[in-house]
Amino acid sequence: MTTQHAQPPRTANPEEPPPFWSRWSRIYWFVFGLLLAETIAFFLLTRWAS
Amino acid sequence: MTGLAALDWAVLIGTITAIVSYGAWRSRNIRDATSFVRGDGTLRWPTIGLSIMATQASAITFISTPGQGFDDGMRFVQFYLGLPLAMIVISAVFVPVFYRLEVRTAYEYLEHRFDVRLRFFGGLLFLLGRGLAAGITIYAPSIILSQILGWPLQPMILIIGTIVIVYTVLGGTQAVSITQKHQMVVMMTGLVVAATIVILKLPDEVSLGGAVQLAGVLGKMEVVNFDLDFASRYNFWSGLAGGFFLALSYFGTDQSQVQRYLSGRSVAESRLGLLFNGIFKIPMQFLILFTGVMVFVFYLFVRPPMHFDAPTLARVQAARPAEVAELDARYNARLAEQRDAAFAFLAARGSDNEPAARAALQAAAKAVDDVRDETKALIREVLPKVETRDTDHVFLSFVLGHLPIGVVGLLIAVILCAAMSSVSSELIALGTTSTVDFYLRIRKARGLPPGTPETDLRVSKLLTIVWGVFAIVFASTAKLFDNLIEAVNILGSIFYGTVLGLFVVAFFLRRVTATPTLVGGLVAQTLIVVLFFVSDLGFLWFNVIACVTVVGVALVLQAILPRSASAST
Repeated sequence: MTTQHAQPPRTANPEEPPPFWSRWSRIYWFVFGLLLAETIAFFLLTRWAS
Repeated sequence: MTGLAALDWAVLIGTITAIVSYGAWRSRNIRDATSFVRGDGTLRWPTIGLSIMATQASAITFISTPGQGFDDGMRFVQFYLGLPLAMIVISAVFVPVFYRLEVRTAYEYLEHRFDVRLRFFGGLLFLLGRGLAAGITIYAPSIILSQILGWPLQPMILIIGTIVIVYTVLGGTQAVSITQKHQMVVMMTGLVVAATIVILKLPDEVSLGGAVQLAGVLGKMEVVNFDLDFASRYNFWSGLAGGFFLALSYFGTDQSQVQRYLSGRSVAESRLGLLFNGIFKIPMQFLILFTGVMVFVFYLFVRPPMHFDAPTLARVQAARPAEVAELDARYNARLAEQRDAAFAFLAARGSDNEPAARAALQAAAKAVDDVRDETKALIREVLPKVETRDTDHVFLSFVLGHLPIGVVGLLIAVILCAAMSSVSSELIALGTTSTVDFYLRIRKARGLPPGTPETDLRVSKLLTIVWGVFAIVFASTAKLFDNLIEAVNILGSIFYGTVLGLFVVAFFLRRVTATPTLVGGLVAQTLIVVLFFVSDLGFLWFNVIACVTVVGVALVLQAILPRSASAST
């Protein structure tokens, strides 16, 4: 029976930011989508009022 | 003291006292310097988000921004379009690193990434810029409230400053966040009440849609403009790009904001707080500007003052009564024509007469503006040193003249809450940076034994008091600045760009080491100070020039210096 030596886990450098598109990416897309919706609403309001 | 009814005083004093007492009571168990500067680490995202918004929303936001909507329309909202994107970058990149390293200040991170020299440099730039700005943050609402309400200026500066110092020192950053949450609720309530009342006060013949169209015809409803015009201060592209960099530097590197989200329970809570700000900031600014636009429409039907700075107009009237009377008579006649033209436009909407009615309304509004410009010219002639721009007085003049008793007290409370929420964040951040980045760090560098938790807490509180007193003294001498908002922005722009440059190198240029970054920072800051004194360059460009200079010089030096010379010490 062989003992499997696990690789020591790669310690993340604490000064390195985590991957940008993590599980949070859906929330980031939501915020971005709201910004887009606001911009479109502002554009339509500008057109309608002028 | 004049201007407020008993009910207004009750609402005003009751609101301020309740919020401050509750915040101080909730954070009464501060035992050491760490809990003073970071809180007890229990704050959830709604408190963090509201606290971030309250820090940014100064009294000027509620005094000047509706006036800006009245004068210039909705365009200014584009300035905030880059903010949500900056919140995403800070949430994704800055927050997890700050948490992992357990830093108490943004500048502590610079030591982790580079060395102590960068920490001192970043901290010093923050203390210089924010320390001076804190005085103006107290002075700006005090001067306008004292002019409009007839309250004496110096006691008002002293009262605002002292209340903020007391609850900030008693409860530390926890008290600041808790009070800000409630202050923000009061601010939003007051804003919604004011917006609702101004719409309800429009004549019966004017619907909300009609009011928006009237504002649109008179150029106040350009909410977004996609023309790529570099000469225009506010358009979609400048808002997206300029607003992004400004928000990135302010929320990512200014300790008064960083401290707000570092007091959260976890990375997730801090991120959600920041994203909350990213979602609600634009609607909030939209509502403030829209309130100003609706005040403008209201004044199409109700006589507005010829000049909103009433004390100044009274002085001119005393000096040149005949000329003011003649202007007044013409002003009344032009206003009557404008009111008739506004009703005529509303009646003509959708008919063949609409283009002619639109042109007639625009001509009538221009005639009214011409009389107001003549009034300003007369003021300049009689009182050459007095500021003739009266937009900062528009909203408070409307509040005092047209809102019901009780609501007036609420809106004065809104302005004082906004002033206190900004100043408290600034003072606690200044005290924290002085303590953590200088006092404690220098003790450590000198090999002195660490102080007891009680001693460090006393030092933190003492330094916060020192900055508070400095802000009050500076506010008492702030008359030297003609334009207060511009003074705050210039002060910020002199230092912001360099600090942002340090953090851009730290986060995104991992191979660049301490010495090239420090030299880049020193070169950039020297350049900006020289440009400030010898050039006519618009101060908003200082941010970009300084940031690019830090990055450019650091990259070049990193490439040409021998590895041993460029390495961290």
